[in-house]
Amino acid sequence: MLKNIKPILIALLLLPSLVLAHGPSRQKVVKEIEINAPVDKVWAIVKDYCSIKDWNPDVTACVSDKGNEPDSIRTITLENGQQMKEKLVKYKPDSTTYQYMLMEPNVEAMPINTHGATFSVRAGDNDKTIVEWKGAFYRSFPGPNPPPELSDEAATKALTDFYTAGLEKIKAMAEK
Amino acid sequence: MYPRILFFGLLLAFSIPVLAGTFAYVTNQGADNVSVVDVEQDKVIATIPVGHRPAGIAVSNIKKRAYVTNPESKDISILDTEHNKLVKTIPVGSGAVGIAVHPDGSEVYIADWYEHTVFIMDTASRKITGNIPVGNSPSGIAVCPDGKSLYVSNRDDNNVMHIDLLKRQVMATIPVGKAPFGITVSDSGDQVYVANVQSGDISIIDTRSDTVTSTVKVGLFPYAIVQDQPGNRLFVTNQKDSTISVIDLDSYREIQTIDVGEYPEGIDINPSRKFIYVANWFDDMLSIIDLKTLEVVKEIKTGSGSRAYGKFIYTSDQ
Repeated sequence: MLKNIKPILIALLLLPSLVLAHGPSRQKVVKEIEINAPVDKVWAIVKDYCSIKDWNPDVTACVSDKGNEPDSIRTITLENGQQMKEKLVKYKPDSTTYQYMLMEPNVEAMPINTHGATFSVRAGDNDKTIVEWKGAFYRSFPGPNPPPELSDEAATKALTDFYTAGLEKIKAMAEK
Repeated sequence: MYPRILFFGLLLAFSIPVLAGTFAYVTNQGADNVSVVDVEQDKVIATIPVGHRPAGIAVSNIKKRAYVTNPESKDISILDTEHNKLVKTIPVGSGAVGIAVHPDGSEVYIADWYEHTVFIMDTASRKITGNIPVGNSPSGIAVCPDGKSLYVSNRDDNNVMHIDLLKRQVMATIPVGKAPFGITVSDSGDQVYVANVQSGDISIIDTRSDTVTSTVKVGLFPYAIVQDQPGNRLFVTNQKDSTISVIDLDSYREIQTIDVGEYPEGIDINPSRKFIYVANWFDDMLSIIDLKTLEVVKEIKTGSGSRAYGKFIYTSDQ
């Protein structure tokens, strides 16, 4: 069934007026990991906006137009070749955190829309470090009755898996 | 002796749910319930299960009811605010978001995000009695204090519509900023304020001419607005800045920002105009701001994904 729906859905998503529309129910994902390494070492791994290509196994490439400058746009390429463009909204090296948002949905990359995320590194207990990744997003399906592949649950799972893979790799790199 | 004590004890027990005071009805979109917060005692006194992904809320002091939109179960929940329980669930549309009650309590208006229409529910019969087609993805609704007009924001058309409630028709379509969402009418009915999520500003509409007379820059992703009439100010939630913008209505400028929780969404004021209340969606809590000092004086934990989109402060004077 999805096979028939998908081309239509993609066509719908490409229409400018429908790109704006998202569902009425925003979802959230919060993931954090404790790392046995100092904050400075962890921040050095993740501080560059495009460093995601080094520490997220689901990302094969990243290019950005303005590095860590405000409004810098990074284009990340996923394992399946699909891309997502994300704008750097806030970059605060003093508080080791940044915020970014998805520019427009690409359902072939991930069934999400209007994804805004905060990525932060902070000191934990006993000289450990906590990396937290939290995102707010909507499913990409523009109508009220999504197929299971494009549901809130599917969107939440896709993003949860993406965050988790990244955090685990950061931990592995920092504790090496 | 004992029977008498028992009798009065029972009387007391049964009369407890009828409460006097000021309460916040906070929709928790991730928990499918509503937290009832006693904002004088600073605690959650009840949690009422509602439909799936509750978003909008409109309280009616006259009717002693709270009306909640549940976009994912495609219905609205009617809550009894005296006993804090669910009265009835009414199926409506495909994606109810914004909701407002007529000042006399006779009707409820529901913006349907997917059907691009405003549904009308009669509160006595609890039946959907009609609908008024509007623009794309209507999200916010506000009824004028005289009860004659309603304003609705069409998020995907970048405009606001003025609806005459007697004629049941659109009288004016007013272009505003990008992605208008939360909408509020001033206490006097002279002005309408709308938060434009994507352009990061507020459009101020003069209701006599139905034109935008001012546009005020605020923070990132402004969501909802409340007016402090005695202070001649507006308070606006900025979702992506985790702040409240304070706007002075003499100069039409942002004069201050107040830090709150993450993703502040619904905002409302208490009748004595001493405090405003902000639901923080990401942090699952309610911030209380003192209107004299403009400082957060209290944070009260609510439920997952607190949204409280609409008029959510209810007062009972019994």
